[in-house]
Amino acid sequence: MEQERIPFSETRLYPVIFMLIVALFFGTILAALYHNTTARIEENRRIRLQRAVLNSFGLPVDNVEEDYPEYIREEEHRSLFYYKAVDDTLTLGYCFPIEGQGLWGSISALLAVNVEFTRIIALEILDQNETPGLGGRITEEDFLGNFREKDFISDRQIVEFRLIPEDDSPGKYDVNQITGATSSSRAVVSMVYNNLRQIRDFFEAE
Amino acid sequence: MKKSEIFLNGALKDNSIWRQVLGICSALAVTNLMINSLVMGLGVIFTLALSSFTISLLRDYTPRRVRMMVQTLIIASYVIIVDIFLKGFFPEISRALGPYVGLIITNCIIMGRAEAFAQKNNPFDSLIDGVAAGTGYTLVLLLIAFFRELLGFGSLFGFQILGDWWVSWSIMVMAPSAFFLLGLLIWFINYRYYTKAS
Repeated sequence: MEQERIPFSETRLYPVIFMLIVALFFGTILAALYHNTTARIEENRRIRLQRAVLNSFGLPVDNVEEDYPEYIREEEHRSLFYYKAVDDTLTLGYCFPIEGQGLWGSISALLAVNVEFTRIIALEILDQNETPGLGGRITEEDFLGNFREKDFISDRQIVEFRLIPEDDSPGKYDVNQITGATSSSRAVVSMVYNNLRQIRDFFEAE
Repeated sequence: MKKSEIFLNGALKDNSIWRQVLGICSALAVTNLMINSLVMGLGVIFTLALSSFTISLLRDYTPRRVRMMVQTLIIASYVIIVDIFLKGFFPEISRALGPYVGLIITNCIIMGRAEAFAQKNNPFDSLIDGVAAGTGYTLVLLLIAFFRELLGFGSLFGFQILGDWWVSWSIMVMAPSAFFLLGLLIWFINYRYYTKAS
């Protein structure tokens, strides 16, 4: 007896082959797109980092390609990586990549300090996952301005800055918090404090 | 069905958010700033239109049993394209939106339109339907963001509108306000436009 022919599209093999072809097709397109943009994305990331490093020292950022190699030296001391800002032979300060725990995820930042290790030159936030519009405002100048040219040594001890309401005028060791984002503000202050201590311990251990 | 009718149905009459109550998660999450809502909306329009088009194009060859896998694969591909594009050419916006772009994949509207429309209609109509549903979604996002940003920050698209006398409502920036506003919107539109007919 002759077997009834079933069309290929009804066989069990058809969905597998179909899925494979569709996956290959879209996979190839995505791979090609990814391949063509990685260099560009890497470049964006590098420029952003270099700009942030220059910014943390208060150096000009208009021409990153020329200014970065002129002012910044990347150095490593016993597995601790940091940036050094120089103007001819004069050292302007050091900048350390730091990390801390935010409200929703980790925060990474750049912390530039003066050569004597007594004053923060500036703080730059690189990555954060805080609530957009609330904790996310830790990246804004209104908040980061708190840390600009800020002394952190009192009685030869590193100070943990005190958070005060947004509109109060800050004392020497105070930081204006962001209204509605106390946790994120506190996270940044703790991150700065913990990392300053770690950096000091690291160099004092010599 | 006429093209204009498809568009009006998708964007207004059968609006994904207030009529079908789909895509709520992202409507709640990104609407505290207008600019985030706008970029999110454009990303959804792009993904929705092209995935509906592609799914419709393949509909006669797609085996029923694996159709959802195929849809997810197609949607994910377009979302990754949007993500890579923003990272490469608009790094600032990409950073502002963070994980939200990738989360377009989980937007129920896209799968909803694929199942409800693209699976049964021709590619061009599906494209229009996708643009329409995305536009309807974007309009709702912008409407909610308008109130949240104005009351929460006193600004619109980042430009300060209300003066120093304005005391910002922090609640408007946080997620709960989106629930209130969305609820009010759905109630108002249903009361005004849908109850009389029945």
